[in-house]
Amino acid sequence: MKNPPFRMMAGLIPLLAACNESDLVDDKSVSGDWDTGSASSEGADWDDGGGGDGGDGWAPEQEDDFLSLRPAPTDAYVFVANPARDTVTRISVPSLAVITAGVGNEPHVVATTDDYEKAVTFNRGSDDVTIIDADTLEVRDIEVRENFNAMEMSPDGAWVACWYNADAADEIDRAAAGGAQSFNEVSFVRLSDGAHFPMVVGFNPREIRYTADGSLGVVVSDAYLAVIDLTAEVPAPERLQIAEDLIDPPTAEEVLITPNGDFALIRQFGADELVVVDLLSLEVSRVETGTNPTDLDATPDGRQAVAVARGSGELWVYDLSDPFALPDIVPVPATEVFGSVLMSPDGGKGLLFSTATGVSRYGSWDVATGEIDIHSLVKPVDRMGVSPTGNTALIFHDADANDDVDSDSPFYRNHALTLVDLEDFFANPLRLPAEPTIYDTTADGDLGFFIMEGQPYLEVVDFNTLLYTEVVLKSVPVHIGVLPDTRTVFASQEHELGRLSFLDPDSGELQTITGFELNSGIE
Amino acid sequence: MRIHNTLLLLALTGCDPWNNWPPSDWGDIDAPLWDAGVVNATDGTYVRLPHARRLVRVNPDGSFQGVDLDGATPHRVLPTPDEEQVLVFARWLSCDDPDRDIETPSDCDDDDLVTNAELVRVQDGVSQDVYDVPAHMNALAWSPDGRVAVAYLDYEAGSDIEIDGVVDLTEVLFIPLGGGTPQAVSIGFSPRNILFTPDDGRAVIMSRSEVVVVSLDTFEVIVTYPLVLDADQEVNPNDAVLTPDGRYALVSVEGSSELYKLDLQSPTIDIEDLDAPPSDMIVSADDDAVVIVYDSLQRVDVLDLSSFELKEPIALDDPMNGVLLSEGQAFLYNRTSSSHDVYTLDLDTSELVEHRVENPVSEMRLSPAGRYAVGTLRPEIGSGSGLEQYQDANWGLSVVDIVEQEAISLVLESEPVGLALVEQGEATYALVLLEGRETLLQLDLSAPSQPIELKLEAPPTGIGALPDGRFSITHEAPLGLITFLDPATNETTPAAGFATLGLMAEETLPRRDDGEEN
Repeated sequence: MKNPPFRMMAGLIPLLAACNESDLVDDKSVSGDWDTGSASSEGADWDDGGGGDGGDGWAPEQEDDFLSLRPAPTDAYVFVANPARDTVTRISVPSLAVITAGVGNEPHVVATTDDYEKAVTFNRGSDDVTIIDADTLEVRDIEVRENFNAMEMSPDGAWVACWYNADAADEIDRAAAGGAQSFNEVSFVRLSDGAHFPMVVGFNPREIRYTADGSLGVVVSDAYLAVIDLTAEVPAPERLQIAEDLIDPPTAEEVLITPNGDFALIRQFGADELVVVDLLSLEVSRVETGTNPTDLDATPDGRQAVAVARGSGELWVYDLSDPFALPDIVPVPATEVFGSVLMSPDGGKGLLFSTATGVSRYGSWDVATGEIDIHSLVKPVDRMGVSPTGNTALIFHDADANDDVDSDSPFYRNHALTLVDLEDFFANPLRLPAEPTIYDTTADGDLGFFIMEGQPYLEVVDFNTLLYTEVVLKSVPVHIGVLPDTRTVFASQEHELGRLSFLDPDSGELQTITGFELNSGIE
Repeated sequence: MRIHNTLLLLALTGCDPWNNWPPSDWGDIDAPLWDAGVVNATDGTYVRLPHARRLVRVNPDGSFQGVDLDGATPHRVLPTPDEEQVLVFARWLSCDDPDRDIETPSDCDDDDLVTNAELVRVQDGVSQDVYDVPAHMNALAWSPDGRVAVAYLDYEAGSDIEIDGVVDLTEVLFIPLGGGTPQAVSIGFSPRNILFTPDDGRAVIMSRSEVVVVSLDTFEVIVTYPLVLDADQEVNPNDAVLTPDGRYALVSVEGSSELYKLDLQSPTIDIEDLDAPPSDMIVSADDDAVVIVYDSLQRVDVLDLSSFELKEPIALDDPMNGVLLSEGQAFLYNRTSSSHDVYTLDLDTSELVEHRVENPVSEMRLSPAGRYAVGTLRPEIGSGSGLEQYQDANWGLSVVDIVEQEAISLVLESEPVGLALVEQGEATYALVLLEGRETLLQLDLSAPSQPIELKLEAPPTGIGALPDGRFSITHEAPLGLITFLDPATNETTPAAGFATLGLMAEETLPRRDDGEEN
């Protein structure tokens, strides 16, 4: 390390309420997601603005899975969106009673409020959001601007914001819409009264974040950060220019808000600085961050932010209580190129990897000592997750990534999952028949579950033994999740009338209910 | 049929048909005078006389009396569950033209002629109650306690469907037989397959894409279960059973391997996935299980009702499509394929025993106590020679002793036209009637190879049981012949000539007051 040990600030809570990563699980967010590296403009229809490789010779790190259909839990229910049927399914816990409510067309995202009183869907087909009373299932539809594909709820459950996220766009999103279309807009909806506040925030909104108290929303777009005072009677964006070069701006890709809500940190692809915005004064500043930062994550305790400077081969560690303080800089071994970091839940380890280099290796960073060890894998990394206890890493490998894979390898041209014991870094690689789509873990960190594209299986992974168990489902699962305060996992499956299976991994009992969509039609 | 009136003279005692006889000595009647599909009740055997448009009660002592239906023509007769009475679907014609000279249907202009339908409750040969029913309804379902009858249209049985004006094909009619007003309830298109909960409180009625639960106290719809999400979709319930506790209805639908599970207590729907459309299913209350067989799968499934999980499937050599339930045993057979296999399945141990019968099964039934499964076997084109070929070419009878797990197949001289099973003391008998043979074969099922032959007066056409244990045997006899058999003594009592009742009566317009429209 080039700098003294990190300064810690006690009493701060991570503000990344909307963060997707499974190693940042809070008490609401039980469904798994994984770190695929930093956001990029891959998949967008326009130039990424940051240059093809950020100046380091490698393509952007890939982020290709947004899990928009991730179920949303409350203390008593889990809500599952059914886009094909224009409904939301409510599963009662622990009774497993299931009932559905009609929402708008093609519900694409579902979220629940912190007080567990409401669930909200963003309905891509009808360009609206549906506010659902969690107990009565009464619904209220609120129109938003057209052609969006993403929704983010504020941590206090008072607001949702919908926008077009180019990184999450699929073919339906990219299909030409009739008439004029803007790529600068965001719709904020106040859930208490259904008031809708459309606004223009900047071209290509990338991320929306909120302060912990929900008083501010920030939208980072290619060249601007829009700050919205959500306490105002009519919220409006304060647009701050974050790119000095508006002709060919470096693409803003990620934004973090400090725990106290004072600052927003913005990472731009191909830049060598982080943009720091004072959310009180709205002053825009910059701090050094090495060359071409490709990932920016908060540590699990929310006290620090880690930027991966892929171009200069460094980790820059910032004190989030004072982003302008000198960061600690951890050099990455010169033989390696890492573009992403995934912190273990205890913050003691960081896993370093790249989805861009095609190298079958990853690094383990001991945060206390600053040492980085290199470990080999059967294939290059596609996505990575960590069990809630931080004992096991799940490293997913894509079938098409075979640059340094021997053609005789059983993993050549196959999808794979490597389970890594993070105590001794012993690995158990598994060949998979298809691409994993979603995983989740029990809160105690003992078990993981994942499903694969088009495969009628629910895979159960024991994080202690690194063994897996395959459970055959009646049809192909669409999404899974662990029910709150249980070890029971549910799998929502393809069936025109609705199908859910519940697996008790301790007894092995699999209970399946089918046709619950009909229940709403019972008179 | 040609009837010489001198032959009738002996039979038509008490009648004075001669004033109505045609001018010549001969009259031609093309249709049968009586319907051999008789209905046995406690008070006698009821027989429809289609030509005379009458109903007659034939008594086991050989006497008979006409039943006064007030001029209505019986079209279908059904016994109540307790067999104490019968219900008669009847129709009568009226003429809207009040002209006093109009007395017969032919006098009335076609445009003024109206067909009226009613359901008549008959007991002791007397009409007790008359209920108006829509003319197209032709079938009845009964609550287990016999308190309520539900009239509906059975389209499959519907050669006599009468459409008069507007017809509501979604309607069923609840008839409180103990008194009260019948009430029509709209159910859904083509209601059929009506179940009743064990507490006699609710009727569960299947119709296209819907299942409706109706209170038997108020006749109001309690709950409607949709079977599809989209009104453009159609599913037709095929078979349905209730679980022994009456909480769930299990409904299979045509062409689908999905079994709908309707919670009647807390209205919700679940669907169990089977591997093929079920062809038959039966509930075993003792084993709390449903036995399911398939036309297209060589296996039998047992659905455990305590968990609603399918037990490990049991493989068969051939698909089966019929199930009978004996005590702790399911008896499996196939009534449509060329299979020679039948099976007994112990529902407790899942032990399967395969039996072979010599020809394909035509019909299968269990003896009252369930010890024997007796089936009629149909001829087949055999591939063998000699005796085997002879057996293949003839009708047969199979007897499977479910206790001893033994099966025997007998060759029959001709097609069986009637089969009844009766128990006397420790013995169980099959009563078999063969086409064209004027004998009744009585087989002790413990030694079925040595039948006793009872001489009959004419070739038989069918056999049915009376509530008192006797049997009625119908015969090929134009003027009517039923033999009543007491199986305890093998005494027979013939009843003949009942089909001549009202033979010469001209059809008139009933219930027509003078000078008034009826």
